[in-house]
Amino acid sequence: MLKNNYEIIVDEVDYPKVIEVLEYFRINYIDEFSLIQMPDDLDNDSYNRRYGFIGIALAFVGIYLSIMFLFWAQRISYPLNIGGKNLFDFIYSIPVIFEFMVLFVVVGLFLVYIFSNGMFHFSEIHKNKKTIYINNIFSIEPLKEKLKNYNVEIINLNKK
Amino acid sequence: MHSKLKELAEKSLSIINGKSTINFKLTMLLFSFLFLQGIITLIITITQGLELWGIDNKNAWGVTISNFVFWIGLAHSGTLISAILLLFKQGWRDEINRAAEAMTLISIICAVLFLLIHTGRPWLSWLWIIPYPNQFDLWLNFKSPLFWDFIAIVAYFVVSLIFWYIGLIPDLAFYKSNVKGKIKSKIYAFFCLGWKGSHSQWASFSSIYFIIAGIVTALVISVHSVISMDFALTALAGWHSTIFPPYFVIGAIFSGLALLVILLTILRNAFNLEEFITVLHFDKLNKLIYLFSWLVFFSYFIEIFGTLFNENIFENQLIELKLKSPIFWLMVLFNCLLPHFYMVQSNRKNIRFSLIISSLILIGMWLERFIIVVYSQNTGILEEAFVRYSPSIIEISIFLGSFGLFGLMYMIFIKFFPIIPIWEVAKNVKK
Repeated sequence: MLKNNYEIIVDEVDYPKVIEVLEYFRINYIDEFSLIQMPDDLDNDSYNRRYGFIGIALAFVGIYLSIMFLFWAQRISYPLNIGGKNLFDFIYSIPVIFEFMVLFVVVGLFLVYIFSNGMFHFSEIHKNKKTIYINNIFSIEPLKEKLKNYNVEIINLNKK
Repeated sequence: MHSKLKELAEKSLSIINGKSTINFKLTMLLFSFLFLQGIITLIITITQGLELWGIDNKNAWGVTISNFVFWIGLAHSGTLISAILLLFKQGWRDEINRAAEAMTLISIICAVLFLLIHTGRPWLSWLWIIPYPNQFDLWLNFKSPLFWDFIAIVAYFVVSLIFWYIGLIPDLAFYKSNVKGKIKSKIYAFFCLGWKGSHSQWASFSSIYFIIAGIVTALVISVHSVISMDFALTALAGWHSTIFPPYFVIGAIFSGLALLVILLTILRNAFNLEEFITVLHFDKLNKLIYLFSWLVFFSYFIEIFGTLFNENIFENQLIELKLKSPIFWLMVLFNCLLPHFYMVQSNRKNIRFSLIISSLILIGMWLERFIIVVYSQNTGILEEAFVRYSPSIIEISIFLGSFGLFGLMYMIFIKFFPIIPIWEVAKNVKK
């Protein structure tokens, strides 16, 4: 992580004016491609373990629910006996359990991802925002003072 | 900003903001024609019945299921390129993964089309394959590979779609800010889900992308294994074999790689993407094709070798039939012998040559599926049960229609989405 990293989340309308301010202070920033620029410290495919644990939890839930569903359908809802043996069999259920589990994990993780990042708040969707990364700032206060008239949110990445 | 990234951004935006070229329109027209003639023959089939096809009681699947296996196979390589190579941190996949993922999604749609129409009454198919009790409250057979097939394809499509969509979000946000026209901008704004490129969003993004890549990798193996069980769990000569799951997975990836080479060649020339889709990509893809041609050869060899050593006369009859058939030797030529040209590096890097070889591999892989599905159904335990199936013009026409559908959907995809992932190129140029 670079020292004194900040991100400025800004409305797209105010973006050129904020850039002017940054240039006035001679601060290096990531340019107009900010939406598609991955931050420097994430370049090495850094991995958030939280999602891994959520994925494992979802996998267990998916396995449990699919076994319960297959058991219920074949033993309770319509208990079909063939030659005195019930149709439900764990070994033959493995392909179905596996596919159900995968579906459950991926759809669940996707929903967790978009909701935990505030990406599907209907009020936010049409607000065009951009992120500007700045680093090696000696003091952020003068910049904050200059940007106070604009709709910006300044986040200190070192404190995260 | 790096000139390469600027060039890519300008090229991507020019496709969506600019007018389509005459070549683009003509190609669209060709695919529309293919698709329409397929639709017409499909309507004729639905109104007149399946008697128009070459199938009969014995050979009930015919070329339609060959086509299904062919298309679902093509869907596999896209995920291989995108997910497995991501897990192995192969940087060269960054420029071509979007094209491969789109190929996956569209191929699955084409495959499902055949799955539905082979039932004869596609509008009722959902009643037969979705886990839903019928009017007697009886559930479908959960032990049937046909049901596993349905679940596997649904899971594969949904997971591939989510994987593709997550990778697309930053690019959609970029399009939203730069595309011309308010309506287009609003549509992109909706689908980019309020992406603002903040640190926390990127941190979650890279984690989730990596995890789903791992899950998709497991699916690549499982889906085609499950599809092979449609055949392997049937007591029919040529099908009842334990080698089928790996055999199908290998074949699927092999044919998908060939189609990817064809698509990349077309994209590179049509949109002047020489700087992004480089000779290096073709070299690496052709190396993979060469590797998989060996694996395919090994599968063919084991299938014949294993049969010759068991004393099942029906299996032996089938092998004899295959070995006497010119289609079999054509398949061996295309799938096992021609890829040996890729031993020489200059051949691997020759894009026109790769295009020809890949096209022939694609034909070879279709022939393989034809042999698997049709030849086993042609032979039987009774001598007099032997039938010869040949596809009717209607079946061929529907198959061509599926190519029209694939081409049309792929062109629509190119027109509205960045075919080269801009954020992944941005990551590379920064390095």
